[in-house]
Amino acid sequence: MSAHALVAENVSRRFGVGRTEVTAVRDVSLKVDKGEIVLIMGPSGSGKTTLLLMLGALLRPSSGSIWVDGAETSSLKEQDLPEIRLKHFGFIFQDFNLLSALSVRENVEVVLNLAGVKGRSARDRAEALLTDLDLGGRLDFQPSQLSGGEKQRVAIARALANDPAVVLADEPTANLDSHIGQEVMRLLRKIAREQGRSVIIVSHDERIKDIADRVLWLEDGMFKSMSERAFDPVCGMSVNQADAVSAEYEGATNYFCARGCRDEFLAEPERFTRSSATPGPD
Amino acid sequence: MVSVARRNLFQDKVRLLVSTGGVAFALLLILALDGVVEGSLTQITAYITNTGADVYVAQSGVRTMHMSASALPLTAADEVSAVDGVESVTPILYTTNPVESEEGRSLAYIIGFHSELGIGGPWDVVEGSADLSPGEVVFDATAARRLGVGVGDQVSLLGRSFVIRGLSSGTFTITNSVAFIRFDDFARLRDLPRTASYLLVSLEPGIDPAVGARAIQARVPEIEAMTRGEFEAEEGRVVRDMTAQIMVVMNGAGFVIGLIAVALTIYTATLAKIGEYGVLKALGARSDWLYRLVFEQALVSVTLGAGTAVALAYALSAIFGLVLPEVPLRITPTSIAKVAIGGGVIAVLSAALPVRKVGRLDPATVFRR
Amino acid sequence: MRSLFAVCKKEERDFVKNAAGSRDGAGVVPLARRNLLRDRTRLLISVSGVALSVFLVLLLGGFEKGMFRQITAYLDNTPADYYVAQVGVENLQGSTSIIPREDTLQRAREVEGVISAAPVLAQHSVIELDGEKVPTFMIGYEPTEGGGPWKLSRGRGVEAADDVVLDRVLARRHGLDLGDELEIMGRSFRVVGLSDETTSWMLSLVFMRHDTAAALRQAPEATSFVLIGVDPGSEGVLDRLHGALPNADVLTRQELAANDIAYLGGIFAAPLQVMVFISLAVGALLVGLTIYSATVERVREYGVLKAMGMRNRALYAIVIRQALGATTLGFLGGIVLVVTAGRVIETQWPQFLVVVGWSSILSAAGGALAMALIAAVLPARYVGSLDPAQVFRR
Repeated sequence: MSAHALVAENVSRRFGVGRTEVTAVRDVSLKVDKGEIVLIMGPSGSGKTTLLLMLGALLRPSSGSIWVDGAETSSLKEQDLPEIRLKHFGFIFQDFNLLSALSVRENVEVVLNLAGVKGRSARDRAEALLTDLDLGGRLDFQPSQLSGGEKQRVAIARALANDPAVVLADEPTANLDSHIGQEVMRLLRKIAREQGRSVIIVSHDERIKDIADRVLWLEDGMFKSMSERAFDPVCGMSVNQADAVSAEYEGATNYFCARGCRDEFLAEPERFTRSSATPGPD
Repeated sequence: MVSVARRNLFQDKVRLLVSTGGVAFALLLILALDGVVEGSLTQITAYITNTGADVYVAQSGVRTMHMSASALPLTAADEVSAVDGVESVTPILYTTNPVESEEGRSLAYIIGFHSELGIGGPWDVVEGSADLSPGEVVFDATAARRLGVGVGDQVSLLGRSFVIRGLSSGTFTITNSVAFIRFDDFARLRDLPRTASYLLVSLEPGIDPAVGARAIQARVPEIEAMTRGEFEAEEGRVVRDMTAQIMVVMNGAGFVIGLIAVALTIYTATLAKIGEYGVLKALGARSDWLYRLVFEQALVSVTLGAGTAVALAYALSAIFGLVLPEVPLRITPTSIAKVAIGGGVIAVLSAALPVRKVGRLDPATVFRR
Repeated sequence: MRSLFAVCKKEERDFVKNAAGSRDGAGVVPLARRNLLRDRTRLLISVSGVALSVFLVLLLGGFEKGMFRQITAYLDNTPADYYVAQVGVENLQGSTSIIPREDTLQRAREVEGVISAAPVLAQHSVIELDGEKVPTFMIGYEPTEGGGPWKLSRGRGVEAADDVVLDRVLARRHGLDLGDELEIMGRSFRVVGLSDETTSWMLSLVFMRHDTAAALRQAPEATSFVLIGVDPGSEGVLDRLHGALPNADVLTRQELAANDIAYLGGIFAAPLQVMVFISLAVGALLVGLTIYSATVERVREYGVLKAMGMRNRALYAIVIRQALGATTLGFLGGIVLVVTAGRVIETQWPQFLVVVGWSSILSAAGGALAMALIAAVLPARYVGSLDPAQVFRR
């Protein structure tokens, strides 16, 4: 198991009981290698966040097992999870989630403190990490004085502070313009390639596909093959071929999210076929 | 070590200021009332403390001076003099009566003393002299100023006119001032030729006052002999017993208001940061680490508030000293300790509500929008 | 768009319309109320804070009033029109009055229109009951002439030289009952009656025979006051009394009562005012804290309102209404508290009388209003200085 930084086996998560029971993630298995970048995509409500929470030891699965660095996290008690998160994971959020009362340096320092690194050594490590991310001139700034890209870089420095094996990123580029988003992607790839950390990204951002070693599609709580997917030519939504409404046109099969789209298509097919190859917005 | 608690508190200066003010004023309620009571205790025992007498003798059953009347036959003075170890006995007469000038009147303790013996009279004469001829009075300087009179002017008391011979300091209290006249003037005006109110006893050097008081008590019938310390304590207890229940109510209210102020501060401060606490939890901070954070905020708020309260109390005391010398505010280490202990309890209690909130906080919420 | 405050979409639209048009009136979305009610715990804490501070203000005032009522109880209930006192003595409580008894009585009785003259020897005395110092106002009276207890809950007035009538509350507090013995100024007495309405937290009245009181003070020929009853039909009695008693003062009952109140009011005024001021300040700070944090946490939402065209004046109104809302609730709570506390005090510590009148409620309401306005200053300034453009920046 040494080649894998993170392993999930037959992981399910159910919420509620009886008639209100909802299965957010069902029977998912996943192995992430050291230094690998995995991108998890999928529509809203597909269970992406639930899966990420379970992988990151923030939520325990209803069934199945998860190992990180060879240690099983899914069987640990609630009170032991913070330690696992602190030592093995780095988190990057869409909203950056910096602590507004602390300076840039202190934002990194505080997670080092939490892990038991204190005083001078915490300070030095925080400074080194931030300088490495070109934030050496911003050490004593308050988060409110930073641009979005700078904030996300602080968040990345914070995620790396305790030398984690796995970095979990939740929509890391969603609140950034495309240029800055690309900068963040470059950094994530560097983290994987040069530092050998596994990076798991949950995102709607198609551009991240370019840096990912693997792209997984999660829908209805399960991984589905990307090849079984098609785009609705009317609304541009990504749909599962097996479940979708379909219509033949000029010898090709078109898949739709719902009857409405199919009817619209059939009324004026030529309007949609020209652009059907390009996926619409998410 | 980064102190997230302190950074959080100091981030919003206005809130910090307002909440520190809230805590400070709440605790000031306790300190101010304590101060007034302690100050009036000092005032009402001032005479007893400053006469120089070792032992006081009063009518049997009378153990106080304030709000009391004591009457002893003068023969008791001779009996006390005969007791072993007694060096001197000085009778005084005492009553409460208004002192009048043309501009108004002021209620005063009238004390008749033997000015030639220098015992039982004013202890701090700031102007003129305490060497009285018949028809002369030493009056409190502040009261005299309020009545628009000075040395050489006339005031009337006990139904007759007196000339001010001297002005004394430290003889002005919340209820009254003090006027000193000759013992024989007092006795004649009140028609009390053979009576004294209290006897002021000096003991021979080396005699323990407690031993001396016990000896006098044993030898002389129908009197009450107390050391100066005992007499002061008895006098203080009048005020303490009288104000005990008020103190309970006011201290209780001050404590609860202080608690509310800190609780509100910590609660709002926690709530404002609840998202960030969720982030910290997600990053791996344990609940107990966050509890400490909340508690530290409470403790820092209380400390700032209590410090401000003590400073305000001293300021108030100084202002009162200038504007209303008759209402002294005396801040004692005891009442500061009381406020400190109360503040500690407040910090613990006020952290309870936000601690529950933080404890139940689900770190997963950080990812859900 | 972000959800605006706790207001639903429909109300939101109405609100913007209202904000653009008139400031007030019916049909306006109650934004201030919604904001306040958003966080009930915080509202509850701050309302309790205000309630407590209003309670303190009312309690202190009620307590002062009650004390004055108690302090003049003797004068109010003793049927005398005039009091003859030592020259210069103008109140009952403050000074020790000494006048010759027989001479004064004789001169007074000879005055035309005087139908009764009763000597009363009054003096303060601190007695000790089970180890507690109890300040009393000892009244020596002639059982046949009047000036004694006016309302006995049990027992009788004094007859024998060692009879004493104690205040009922004082007796109960110290476990004394009819027939029990107690020592006053070195002399033993027997409780023969328990009187009503004769106590305050400072002083309790103790009644005994005039000659006994005179003996205790070693002044057998003296008295303190002579209580004069006047024939309602005759006029000019006061002048004639003045003429007949050149070496004494004659005061009306009202003068004495007013002087007593002025004297005690003078003693308690400063400390009471300080306490009231502190209470009001705490209240203002607590409301301020609540409104301030309620405002700061919605800074973006206020920015949105400003961006949509709401004027500062309308925003101030929202902030002030929140402060007024919280203060009003606290004020009502304070009244409930003080009424409840008054009941409890009446049964538990009957020596304290708390009189809460409309005038005190009105002045507390004024204090609460001031509290609310002061509390609104900082948050209003904060909202006023807000830059609506920041809504569009992240």
